[in-house]
Amino acid sequence: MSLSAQNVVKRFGAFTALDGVSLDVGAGEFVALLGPSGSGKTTLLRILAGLEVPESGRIAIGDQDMSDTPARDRRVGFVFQHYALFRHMTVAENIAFGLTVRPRASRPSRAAIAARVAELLDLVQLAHIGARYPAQLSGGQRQRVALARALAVEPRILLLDEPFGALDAKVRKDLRRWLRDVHDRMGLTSVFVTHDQEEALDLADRVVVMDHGRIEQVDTPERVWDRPATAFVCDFLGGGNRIACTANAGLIDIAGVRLPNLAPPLPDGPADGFIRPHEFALAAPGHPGIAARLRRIQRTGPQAALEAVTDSGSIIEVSLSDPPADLAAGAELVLVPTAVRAYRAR
Amino acid sequence: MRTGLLQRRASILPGFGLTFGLTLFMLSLVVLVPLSAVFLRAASLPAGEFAAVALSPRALAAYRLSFGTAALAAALNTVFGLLTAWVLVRYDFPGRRIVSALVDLPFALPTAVAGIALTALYAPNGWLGGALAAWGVKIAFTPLGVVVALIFVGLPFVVRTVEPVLADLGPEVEEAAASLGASRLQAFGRVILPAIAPALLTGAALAFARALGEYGSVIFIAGNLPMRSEIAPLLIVVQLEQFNVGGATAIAVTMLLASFALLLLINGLQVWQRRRMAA
Repeated sequence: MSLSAQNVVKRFGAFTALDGVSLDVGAGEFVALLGPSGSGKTTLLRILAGLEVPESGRIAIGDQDMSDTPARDRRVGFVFQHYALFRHMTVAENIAFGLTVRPRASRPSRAAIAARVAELLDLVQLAHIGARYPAQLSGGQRQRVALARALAVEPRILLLDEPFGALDAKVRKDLRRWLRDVHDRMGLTSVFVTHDQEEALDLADRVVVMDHGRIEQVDTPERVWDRPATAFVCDFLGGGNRIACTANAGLIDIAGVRLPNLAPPLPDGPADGFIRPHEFALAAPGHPGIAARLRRIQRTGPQAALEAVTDSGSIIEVSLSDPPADLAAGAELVLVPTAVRAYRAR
Repeated sequence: MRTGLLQRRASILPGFGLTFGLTLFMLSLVVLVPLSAVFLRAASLPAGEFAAVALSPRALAAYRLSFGTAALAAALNTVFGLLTAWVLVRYDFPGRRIVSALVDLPFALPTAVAGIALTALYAPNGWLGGALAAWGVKIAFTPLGVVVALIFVGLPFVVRTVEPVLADLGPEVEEAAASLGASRLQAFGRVILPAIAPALLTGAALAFARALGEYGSVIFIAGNLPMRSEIAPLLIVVQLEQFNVGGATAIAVTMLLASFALLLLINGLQVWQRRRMAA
């Protein structure tokens, strides 16, 4: 089922959490809302779920306007960051909750509910712990129970708030793959919030990058990574080194090296260029490029992480594969950028 | 190694022996010794005399009034205390701190002051008493007046025990219930109430215990008519005033045993509740 938000505005007192946000999510899509804290991503998710009421704007699920529909009637599954499991209920009772609160007329029979719970426990690979209480589970298990509980009511849309935020790195990776798998198998339309760019790029069909209550870019992970639309997106996604440069007739000039711009076109004049650590090559002295002194080099296998200081004192991080064996701290380098994303200077 | 009640185990926290000893000493000094004295004094009464005083119709009426009004007051306090705690935790409104301080007032106020104030208010010539009299409702100098006084002294117990648990529960579980299709009533009855039930029960038990022992505020508003609005603690004082120390202790011991049994029962209920929630 598709999902859309049109011109959503939300304020908390003097703070504007969402400043006219519009977003369309296609049926079956897996979309990530990515941004720093305070960017409004969680607020947008909560508004989609009906847990927060916007000042203005419309929300639609499928072709139905849901703006004035309360959360309990939206049939949207919501997984909370800290799971919000009912601690006085067993795992099975938690999962069954959404079915048991239905009005008598539409409530499945006891046996049907039990069967559905068993099916979901299987899906989340927790069949053996249905009788336990949430307090007896690990973080990853709680997360899966929360997901099963949300899925029990057969939601049209699944919304997840920082679904992996409270888990350790290993569990997080496993659960990520598994969640994507569940999404695909059940044919869900899902939106999840994260501040972890790797997670967003790794998991989502499309990434929505947000900042200060506005959407900066909506694109595939590949496009968001390769072609960031704004300086903020570029910087937030690990833009790397920010280096002053000049835009001139469609090309970017950095210390005498002229490169095409991978960012949207910008007018001639001073610009901010972003160069990622691996987008440098070393050149012989005298060659055009950024002159810098090597301060530190850290080799791991065939890779090396370099930290160089330019004449003006700014630090450049460089990542090289197969660096010269004799490269050592104190060496004078000429760094030649091989790619750049440049934006109007701030 | 010897196993027994006080098994020795290496503990990171030092001073168990010392603190436990001091605790026992204080408890004995403050609670056990005075209570034992009451029992000893009562035990020196011949059984017939004990029963004659402790189970006299007047004493039975006093127990009934004391336990009945305390239970009713505790029940009402449970409802309104929960409501007050809810408002204090979930909503931010101007004057919240003042309301919160007001809740504690019954803790701090000399109960006689409360008694006099309530009596002045509810007496047939008082503000509320006058208006209620027009409807044919009498509060002061009736068992109803006792309930009013007991509600006053017991309210903070429920509010203060439920408040932290409710705050800890947070709004998330309610939102979770709503997103799963539960109505407000279902969310409250099936999610919030069970989660705060142990705290609510503790608060109710405390309010009940407090109400059972209350004396200062009640004697002003109750009217103290024997067989009708005379509470058990007052009956004890009446016995003492008639220099019938034996009779006073007989009633005291009966009260003591009954309240102890009740508190034990409530405690058992709590343990059962906690077990059910596991951890």
